[in-house]
Amino acid sequence: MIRRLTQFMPPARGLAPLVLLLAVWEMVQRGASPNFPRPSLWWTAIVNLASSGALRPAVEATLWTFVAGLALGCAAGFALGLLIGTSVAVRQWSSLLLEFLRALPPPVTIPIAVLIAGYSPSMKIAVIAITASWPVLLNTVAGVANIRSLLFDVARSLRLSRAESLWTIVIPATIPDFLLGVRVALSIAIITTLLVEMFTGLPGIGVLMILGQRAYDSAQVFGLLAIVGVLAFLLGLIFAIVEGVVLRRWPPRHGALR
Amino acid sequence: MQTIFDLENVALSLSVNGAARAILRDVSFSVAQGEILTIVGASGTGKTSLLRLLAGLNRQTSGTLNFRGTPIDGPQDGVAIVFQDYTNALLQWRTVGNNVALGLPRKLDRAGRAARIGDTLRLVGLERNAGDYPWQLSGGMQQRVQIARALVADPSVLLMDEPFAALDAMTKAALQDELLRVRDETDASIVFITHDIEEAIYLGNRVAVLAGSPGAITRIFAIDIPFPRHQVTTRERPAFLRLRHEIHDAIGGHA
Amino acid sequence: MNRETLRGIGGVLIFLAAWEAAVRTRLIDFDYLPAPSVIAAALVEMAEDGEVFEEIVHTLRAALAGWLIAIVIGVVAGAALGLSPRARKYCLASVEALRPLPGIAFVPVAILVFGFSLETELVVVVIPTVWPILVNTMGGFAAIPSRLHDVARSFRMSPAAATLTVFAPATAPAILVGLRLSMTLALVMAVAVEMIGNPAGLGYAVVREAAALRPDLMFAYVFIIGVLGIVLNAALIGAAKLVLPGEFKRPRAEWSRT
Repeated sequence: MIRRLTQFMPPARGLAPLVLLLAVWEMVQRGASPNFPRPSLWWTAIVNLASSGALRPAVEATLWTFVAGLALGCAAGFALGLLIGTSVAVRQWSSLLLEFLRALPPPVTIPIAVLIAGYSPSMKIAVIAITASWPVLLNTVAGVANIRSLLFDVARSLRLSRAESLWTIVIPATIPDFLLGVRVALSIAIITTLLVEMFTGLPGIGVLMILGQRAYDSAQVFGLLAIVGVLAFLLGLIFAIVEGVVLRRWPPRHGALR
Repeated sequence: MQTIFDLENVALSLSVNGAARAILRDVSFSVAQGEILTIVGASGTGKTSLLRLLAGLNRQTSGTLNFRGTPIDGPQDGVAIVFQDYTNALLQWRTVGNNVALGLPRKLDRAGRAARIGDTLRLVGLERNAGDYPWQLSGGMQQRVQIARALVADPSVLLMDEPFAALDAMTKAALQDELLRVRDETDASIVFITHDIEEAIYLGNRVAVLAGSPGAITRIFAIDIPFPRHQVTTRERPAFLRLRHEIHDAIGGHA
Repeated sequence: MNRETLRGIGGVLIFLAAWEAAVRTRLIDFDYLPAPSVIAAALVEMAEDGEVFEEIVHTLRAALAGWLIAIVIGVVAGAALGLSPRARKYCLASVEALRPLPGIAFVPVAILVFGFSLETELVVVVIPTVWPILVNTMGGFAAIPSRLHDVARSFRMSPAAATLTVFAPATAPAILVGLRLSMTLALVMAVAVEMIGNPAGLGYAVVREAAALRPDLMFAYVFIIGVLGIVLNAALIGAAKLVLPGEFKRPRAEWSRT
């Protein structure tokens, strides 16, 4: 099992620079620096947060809304992507509109959503879902468009119904592109989740970071930064594993696009 | 002897980039039950388009095209197609067995399906590859998977669009013989498109020459060489060599 | 102008017309969702006012300056890692560990150290933007076939000459992908940090107008941000076509993907 995991990760000795950086930081900042406290102080601050009972609900809130928003966004993006992708006419008519919407930075959605829908967890999940759905939608449309027309000839010659065609050919053929979109959506969703928390004050790690910043508690801020880093890394790893498992039956791709 | 396909004055025009282009003009021939009709012609004469008409994938612009006496209005029951591009004609994410299963008629029950798939894979020599994925197999094997998919529903007609063109010479020869053997066992009629004259003679009961642009059937040769055929000796027979000459001239005679 | 482009434009017009009609007929009746005509009027108002141009310049400055800094760091580090398998062995894990860190998580830290200022924006833009450039540059250099190295050696080129004449053209396409990805990210991060960190520029403008309950101005700013993104992207591709004319003649799947 460990062996299988390590195929996703580069050699461990590559962590040396990071460890070195932290070690040097620890030693250089023996005198308490207000802005760049040493790593051991981060740990203390986090432990304090945890024992005060503030850490766990925040992490849970962040993770839960992230997962819900991402799942919703991927499902919506995939469904809409299929809808748009399977019709050449719809694709052409919507192409410019989609290009413009794609160019909109996701953060911009937040004030709009807040203004229209107010401050609530469901607004937060909706915003995460909307921003996450874009890469999924666009990649799914591209995936459908790339299905060789020969496959559709095959479907017709086998006299498959439209539903059978969709299920046995279109959807499986689009899965690799869909997963590419999900990978992008993952990082966008992380950013959006934290940003919503920082902007609206809805519960989560982002709020804790802002509170720490306002209280000039740099150790807490750095500690939370490290936690966010670890979480982001783990989420990416989980995705890579899931993607690897799902894509086992597809021919190997010629290299990821990101 | 029943007539499977009957074409009279069939013409086909397709719109390419907004302009109409004539692909086929005045094609007339018929295919009898149980025969192998090979259609040979140079590139650009509309061979693939003709096959697509027979397959019901396109509709002709004018003329009559009948399958068992009734006009064709779409892909027909009992007609199976094997395409040249096996990589994109197979579902690469499905196992060989599941790819073949796609060709099965709906109403079969689970045991029946398994049995049919097994038998057909045995027929093409792939019984040990049922669990493999197409992308793990060689070109020749992938093409055999496509043939198996076509055969699993026990079709009365097999339409093949230059199926061996993308394969190396040895694999091509092996598959040609395999096709003849399979035909003996299943008794299907075959319409086989190729640009390879020798292949056309080797496989066919009759060879139809598609020539000109837009294309038309200019001559049909009866192949009076008996079955079973042999890769080396058959190709040395005087009749074979004579036909090769004549067909070559028939193709080249039209610009 | 071919049929596809016409249809794309048509799609946009239909969308705008439907939106306008829906708002006018009260089909959609949110307090804070104005009709396109109202937003257009707001755009005119902003243009006459003139303040918007300063805001555009501010955001552009933060995004582009940060992007350029990220390019320098990313290309140099990426080239070094790409050319030396040894360096990769000792650094890759650290890169993979740090890369998932969302740039937005650095906002509280940046505010602590730099307060509400351009420096804060730069920090938040540079940190996440480095990674796409670094990774893609690294990939480009690592993929240089060894015979090109032999060619450079046989001509007895100095490292500088070799880099310029042999390696750069070989790696340019990969680097370009990194540049394109990171520029989009730079704009996103600049807008994001302006929403919560530095009250200046377009990001702040969106938030300000939302708080002032002027949705027409808010949407107008959103529109400008979108246009900015498209213009920057087009400019980058245009510049790339000048430097690498051959790159764009071949059809490349990557340019159509997210």
